[in-house]
Amino acid sequence: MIKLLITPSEKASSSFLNAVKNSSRKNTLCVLCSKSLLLIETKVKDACKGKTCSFIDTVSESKEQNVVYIPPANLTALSIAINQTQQSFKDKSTIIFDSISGLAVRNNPNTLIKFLLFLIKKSTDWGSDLILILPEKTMPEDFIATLSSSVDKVEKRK
Amino acid sequence: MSFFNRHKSKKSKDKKKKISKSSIKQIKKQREPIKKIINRTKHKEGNSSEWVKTGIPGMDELFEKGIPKGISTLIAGGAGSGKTIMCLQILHNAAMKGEKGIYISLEESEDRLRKHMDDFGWKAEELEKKGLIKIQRFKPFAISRQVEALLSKERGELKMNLSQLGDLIPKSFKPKWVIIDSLTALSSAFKDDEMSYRIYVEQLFRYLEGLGANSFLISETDQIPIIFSKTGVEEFLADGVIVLYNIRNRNVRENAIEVLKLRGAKHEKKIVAMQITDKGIVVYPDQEVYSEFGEGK
Repeated sequence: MIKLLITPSEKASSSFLNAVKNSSRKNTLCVLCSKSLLLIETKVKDACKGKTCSFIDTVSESKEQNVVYIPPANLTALSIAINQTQQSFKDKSTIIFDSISGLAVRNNPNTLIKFLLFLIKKSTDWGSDLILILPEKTMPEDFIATLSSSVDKVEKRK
Repeated sequence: MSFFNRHKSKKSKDKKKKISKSSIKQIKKQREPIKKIINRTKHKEGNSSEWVKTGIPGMDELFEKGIPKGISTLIAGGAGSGKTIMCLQILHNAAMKGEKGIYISLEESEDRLRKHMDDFGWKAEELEKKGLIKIQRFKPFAISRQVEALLSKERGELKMNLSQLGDLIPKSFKPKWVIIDSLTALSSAFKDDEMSYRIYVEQLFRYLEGLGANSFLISETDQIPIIFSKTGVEEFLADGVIVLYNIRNRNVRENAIEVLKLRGAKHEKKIVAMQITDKGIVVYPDQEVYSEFGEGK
């Protein structure tokens, strides 16, 4: 299932934590684009209880073992890192982006949409669930329209 | 969409990114003196029945069967694009299969190259002791002086033969793999006499063809090149051209690779991601590159 979750900006963080907590798969890959793991570590570890969580942090570097830092401007490296983490999981997984607009700061919307469409295709091939959290009013309408047409489900949180 | 099409489509949007008239003029000017060489060059025809693999993770997937055995391939790219590492890795991988290789350096010292290999865990000295690899440095100015002297003796006729210059490779060593790093350093030594350089390079390619070894010749270019060698004759004489990119995207750089041509072999025609890791180069044949090619140099 590929889901776009549009949420009010102030609820993006809680939406992310809920998504981690409620993901049905044991293996979860969290891609952090708006807040570094250092800031939300306790809450996220709580949400990860009983799961195997890996992290890709695009905000700041971390010394933790299951965290990889990728600069947000390097979408190719991010894509490779997601692929590699995915391959390291033995079973199917859930990939959750805390805020895709966090990547828009360093990448233009066209490049970002190209990256996301590639990731959607890959996730489908892997049989993974993909949850893309988008704080509302942070991206142009045509970006949201293109992305909405490529996912299985669009959910708007109030 | 290929880089070139992408580049083409960007042209209309951004005049700054057009291939300038002066660049076209430069390419035309570059090609003019090599017409003679082009006319008398015969390339191997047909498909090879024997193929070799580089052993670089992901790279061989860019070729349908492999690289045709015994051809010369130009490795073109800008600074930091991974040309030297790629060639050292190919040499190491071949040595691990018991195949001999030689690295002819016209720039870096033998010790620096050994250190490069050691940095990736490729144990250069051990392989040298086993007689599997040889790293040999030549001074490009010594070569250019010799060539110019020979050519002036022959009154500028194209009679020079590489055997007159002494062997680049010791007679007792029969390598299956030859690396020349770099043609750019060599051409710089011929700075006042491009014609002599072209003649030498043509002879060099013939020499390598005669050896029957798998040859890789490094050419330093712009980060996003529109020409892949100093004079243009190199990319014509080579049977294959592999381009390595080091593209800037805002504050980071990404590496990418493209097989531009490979005579007699089918290959991928797209630019894909590549990374220089602490174990050497890794190519990701399915990974598209997101950096914009027009953006940085």
